[in-house]
Amino acid sequence: MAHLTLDSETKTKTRSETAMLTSRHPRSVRLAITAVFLGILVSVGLLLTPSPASGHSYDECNAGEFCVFAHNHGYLSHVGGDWHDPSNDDPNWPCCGHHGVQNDDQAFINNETKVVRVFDGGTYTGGTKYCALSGSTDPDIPTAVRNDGNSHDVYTSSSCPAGDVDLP
Amino acid sequence: MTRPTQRRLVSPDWIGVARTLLPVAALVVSACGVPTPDGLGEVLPPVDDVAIQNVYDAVNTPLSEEEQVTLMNAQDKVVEECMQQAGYQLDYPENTVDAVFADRAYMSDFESWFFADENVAEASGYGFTIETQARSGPQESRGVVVEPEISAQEEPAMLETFRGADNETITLDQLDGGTLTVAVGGCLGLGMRSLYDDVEQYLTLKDVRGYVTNELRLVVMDADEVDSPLEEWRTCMKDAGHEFNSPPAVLESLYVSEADISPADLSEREFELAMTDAHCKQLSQLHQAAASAFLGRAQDLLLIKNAELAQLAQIEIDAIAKAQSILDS
Repeated sequence: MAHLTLDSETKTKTRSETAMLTSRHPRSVRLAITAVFLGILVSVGLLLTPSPASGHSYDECNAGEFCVFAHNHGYLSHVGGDWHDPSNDDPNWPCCGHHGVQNDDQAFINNETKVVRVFDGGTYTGGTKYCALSGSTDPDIPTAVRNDGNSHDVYTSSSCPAGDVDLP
Repeated sequence: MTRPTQRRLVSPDWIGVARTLLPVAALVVSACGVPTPDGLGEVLPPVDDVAIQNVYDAVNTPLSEEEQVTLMNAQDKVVEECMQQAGYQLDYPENTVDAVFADRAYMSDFESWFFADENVAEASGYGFTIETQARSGPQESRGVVVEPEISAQEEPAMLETFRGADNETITLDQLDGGTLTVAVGGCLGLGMRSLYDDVEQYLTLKDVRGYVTNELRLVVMDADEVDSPLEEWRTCMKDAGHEFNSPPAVLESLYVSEADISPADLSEREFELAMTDAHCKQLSQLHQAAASAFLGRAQDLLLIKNAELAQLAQIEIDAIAKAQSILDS
């Protein structure tokens, strides 16, 4: 409803201004002002349309980085941002929904020389949800463990503990 | 002359009725349960801890924590030596049980379904406070990786040495329908092969274990037989002032940073929630329904996947001897 109201107001203003322009201003000024209003209209349109360019691809996950994607197949949430974590553990993932990955970790790529262990809770608690092998890419994290990661530990080894997928 | 016994059998007195109906009642009880003390439902069988442990044993790695750490150290050693031969310094600190399993005393969301002992809840809550005080944290308890000092231009070559070329990967079609691509070339691949020989087979079997584990993690929440007890548990929790969708959600609420709540307040909240949770489980029998659902699904899964799980377990056991040999050399 909000954007319909805005459109309606914008159109009303445009019609009113156009009527003024035709009667009182020279052609060059009318063109300039019309261009400004067209610009405003285009800007409003852009604001109201989600931009696919806001995602990020696997290609942006550089060597030495671990990247979690909030949507499948290589696209990050648009506000969670370029969420790589080049060399550090992260005890508290960006939260939540469209603004982060805590409830939306659906894909990962691990370009570290180390494994990365993802935990259910913050500060590496609640058990390991999954362990991302070095050089591994999972575009579709299994349903049982996705949307559960809240922290990750870039673990100082080239391999995951054998029991990381264990039941408790 | 009247025969008392005959008269008693045809008599409508209560003793005769009870004698006649007792076997039928026993069958009904065994099939359907008996009313709970509050008369709201049936009594479910107690949680079969031994059966649950048997499932864990069949699914989990047979390796002890020490053995798992041995495998990690051996692979790291092979990778380090390989990288050094190629001119790159890459040093992993030694893995230790304390560092690798720093979170082991934390209750997982899966375990939370079976947490129902009110005495344990009163004595130690969910165990978070006690564990937090005891542990040093993963970051503090180990060293850092010394990585090659190289320029950005040199990174691709270093990475190729580490994990092989882009085409030296295995793409697994996972049992849950997804795909997983793993680098198996370079020094990393050498490290894996030194322990597991056929890396693709090993990773495929690991996927089987992951699939079974994840299926069992999901089954409780998805099981129809859990619906009613879960609803009772929710009502009980809500009546006590705690509104949660499921036991894992209770745990989730405790995963907060010290910036949000003081340790003392968090501990108080943990114990209050744990005691209420355990009490509500006892009333609703949620833990028993969860165990029943878990064991039913586990039986089906193990029937299909037990051979592969056993094969993986054997590969891991065999890898220990190789790891020990690597570390001793």
